[in-house]
Amino acid sequence: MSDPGQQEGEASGKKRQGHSAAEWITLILSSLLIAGVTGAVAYFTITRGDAPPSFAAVPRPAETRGDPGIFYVPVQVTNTGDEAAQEIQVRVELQSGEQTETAVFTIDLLAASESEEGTAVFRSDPSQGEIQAVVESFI
Amino acid sequence: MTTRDINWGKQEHERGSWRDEIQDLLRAASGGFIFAVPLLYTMEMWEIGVTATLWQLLLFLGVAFAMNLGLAHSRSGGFKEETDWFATIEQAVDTIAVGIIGGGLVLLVLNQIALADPPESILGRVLAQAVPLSIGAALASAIFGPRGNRSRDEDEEETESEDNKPSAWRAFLSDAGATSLGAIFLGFSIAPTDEVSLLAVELTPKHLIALIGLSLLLSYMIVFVSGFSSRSQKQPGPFQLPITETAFSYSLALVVAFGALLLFDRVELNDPPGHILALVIVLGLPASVGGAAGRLAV
Repeated sequence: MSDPGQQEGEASGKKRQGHSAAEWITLILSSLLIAGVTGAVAYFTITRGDAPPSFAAVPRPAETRGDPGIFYVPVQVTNTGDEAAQEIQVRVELQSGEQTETAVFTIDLLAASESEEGTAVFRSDPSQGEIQAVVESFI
Repeated sequence: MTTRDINWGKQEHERGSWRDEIQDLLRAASGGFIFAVPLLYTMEMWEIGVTATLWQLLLFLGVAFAMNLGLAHSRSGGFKEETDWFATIEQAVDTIAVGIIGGGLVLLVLNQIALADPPESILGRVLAQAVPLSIGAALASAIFGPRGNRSRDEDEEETESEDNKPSAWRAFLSDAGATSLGAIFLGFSIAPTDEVSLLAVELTPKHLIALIGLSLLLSYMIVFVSGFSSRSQKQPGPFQLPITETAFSYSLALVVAFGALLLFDRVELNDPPGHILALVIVLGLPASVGGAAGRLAV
């Protein structure tokens, strides 16, 4: 930013008459911003339902990465309800043959229709079995 | 640092010009950030934007608006000199707008909102942070006393009339001391919290660079643009140029931030250097804002 003092000349000596364009434009822009935010709040409040939190937990075994003997499986958890939920506990089960391996993770906070990814870590190869993810609890 | 001129008098010139208006808005934003930084770094403030209903948050902002009307109308509050009805309403409306824009900017830089998030949760989070920011903006003049001397000419006169100019070293030491004290004041109150580690882990290199930029910008704005102080570029010493002073103060703020993190055991020397750097940069923002506020107070 340049030294504002240099621009002093053009404005000096001008007595104020009413309110300047700068003041009006700032006021109008600020008012528009507030009106926009208020409108958006009204819109979301009216259109949004009041369904309690519910979840879709979808494992994505196709995107598994891993080291030898360890497999990281991403699990996408989406809050499909209209209210936020906290401490969402997700349980992921890998069924391969007789054996069932379980991984658990917690998501701190999910806003309405927000979605977050967690990772389940397994010892056996997920491509050899079947994965299921369920949300066990939340606040 | 030569002059710390307190000019309570009104200056008639250039009132209402774009330059004046922008400076007023930046003064409001400066006040907002100094006041609201601890809340910007509070996890619960990020969460309440999602867990509270939107109309509750809007109501909260409405209460802030009413407060800001009152503050703007009083002689000691607001961020402008005028207290007529137009200025009162303009200031109150502007403080809310400054709060919304400032809140959005900080949350974006801190990676607490992303454009891909549901619009409702972005709106909620921004509204929650807009409340303290706008109150800070409306308190700008009340916190920092005189509605700063906007005229740089004034400084020059003062400098000339002053016989005993402090030496460059004294000015430098006084600035460095004030910066450290301010940085300690804000930095130490935030260093022990979990938010610092949480942000450090979540921020990508892009966010960290944006955070450095924001810290420098806020420090520069508070000291040199807000008009809280009457600093000019005509100060003695190599460290008194606005850009140099801002960069130096930021480095000092980073050192204070590192010290605070070490003291509170939030960082260990054998941690990965990238993580240490992220922690220091995250805490660097409040420390740098504190440092800037400290230099105003000298």
